[in-house]
Amino acid sequence: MAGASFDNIVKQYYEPLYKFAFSLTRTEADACDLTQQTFYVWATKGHQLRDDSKTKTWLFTTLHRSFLQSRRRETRFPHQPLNEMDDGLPFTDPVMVNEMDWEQVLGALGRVEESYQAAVALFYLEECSYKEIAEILEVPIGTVKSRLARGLGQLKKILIQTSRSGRIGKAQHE
Amino acid sequence: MNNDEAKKILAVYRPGTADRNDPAFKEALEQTKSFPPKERWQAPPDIELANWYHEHCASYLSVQAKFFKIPTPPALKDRILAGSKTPTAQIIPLRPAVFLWAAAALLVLCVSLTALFWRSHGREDDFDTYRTRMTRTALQPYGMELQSHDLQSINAYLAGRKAPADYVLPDGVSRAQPVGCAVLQWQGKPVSMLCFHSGQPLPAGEQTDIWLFVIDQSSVRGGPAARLPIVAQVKKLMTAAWTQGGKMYVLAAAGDEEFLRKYF
Repeated sequence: MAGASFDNIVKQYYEPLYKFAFSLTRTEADACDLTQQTFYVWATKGHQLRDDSKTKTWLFTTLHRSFLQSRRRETRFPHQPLNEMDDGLPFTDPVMVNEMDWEQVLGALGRVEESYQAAVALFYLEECSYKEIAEILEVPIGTVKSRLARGLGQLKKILIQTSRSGRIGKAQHE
Repeated sequence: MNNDEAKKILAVYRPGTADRNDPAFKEALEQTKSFPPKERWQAPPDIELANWYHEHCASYLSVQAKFFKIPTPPALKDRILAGSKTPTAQIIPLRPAVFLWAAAALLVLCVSLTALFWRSHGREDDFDTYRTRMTRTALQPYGMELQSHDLQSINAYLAGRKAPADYVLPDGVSRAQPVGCAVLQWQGKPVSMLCFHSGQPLPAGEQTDIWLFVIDQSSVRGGPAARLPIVAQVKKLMTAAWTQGGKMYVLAAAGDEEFLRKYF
């Protein structure tokens, strides 16, 4: 492909890719490895991509595939259409979330069912449209939304639990 | 489309992103508009759905801000660039002189990386970063935790959350219509975000075109040290920053410098 140079592509995408990797692995070393691995694959195979506009999706897809391979997942996540999702999502109190640090929120994401984590991470990282998220996760948009609805529901419940247990611990400490 | 259907669709909507142009959300978004109809014949707003939507947006933005804060290792980019070039590099037998040059280059690289590391860490709490973060927040719609035209209610809300509420409003801003507020965090310190409307026509769905951010001066490194405002364009907003009575103020407005100067 006759597009941007390798250096420019690294400069443009290494941070969002690292954040996505960190959201999935929650360790700096694993996230760095995944990000580096992704660009290594790009350096060796990226020239095969004909459409420059697909670079971002290609990189995120490659990273996600590497992550799944590293987890040696053998079964695909089941596709669930949107109309089967649970009704009503609990709201997280913004004040409550503001009191948490990003590690606590990422820790809560780690307790969400694994098949929903990537969709939730891409949702909050705001790098990709729904169409792109669907391409990265290699599922239909309806499945992305159903995973999101379920994943967000779980995340919010966990955040509320985390906040409550934090407050109880704090009160006992005091 | 009824309210439950609209909520189900908007539960996965991301305010302030390209989702607003996604046709899948368009009809549901239309239904949430809480500002008064412009024409008499238009239907009155659905307050229950509008409130739900406001809560959804506030909830979303609070979690999203945490993902934004995930730090990236400062040396990662260089490691990627170095590592990915390895497969195409030719292996050349090294001579003693080359060893010396390589060692010198490595030393320079280490010093540069160390300097870069400390510089980037040192910048985290500085004024430029603070002003940029606040401006970014202002550009994200629906970030208000409290919507109110009453400044006393706004101050009570801020004081209740231990955010600066003893600020001094510039004359120009005090003539604008208060719209609401939110409490933000900067390096673990509370920031009061006060939202105002100048009275100028706003784009559909927007309620604010003037934002005032107030924080204790000691919480931000550098920046203006006096009441004389520093004016600068940051992203799409014009900003003015000054300090007064131990507080640092950043005023942001959706307009040019002439527009902004009416408010301080």
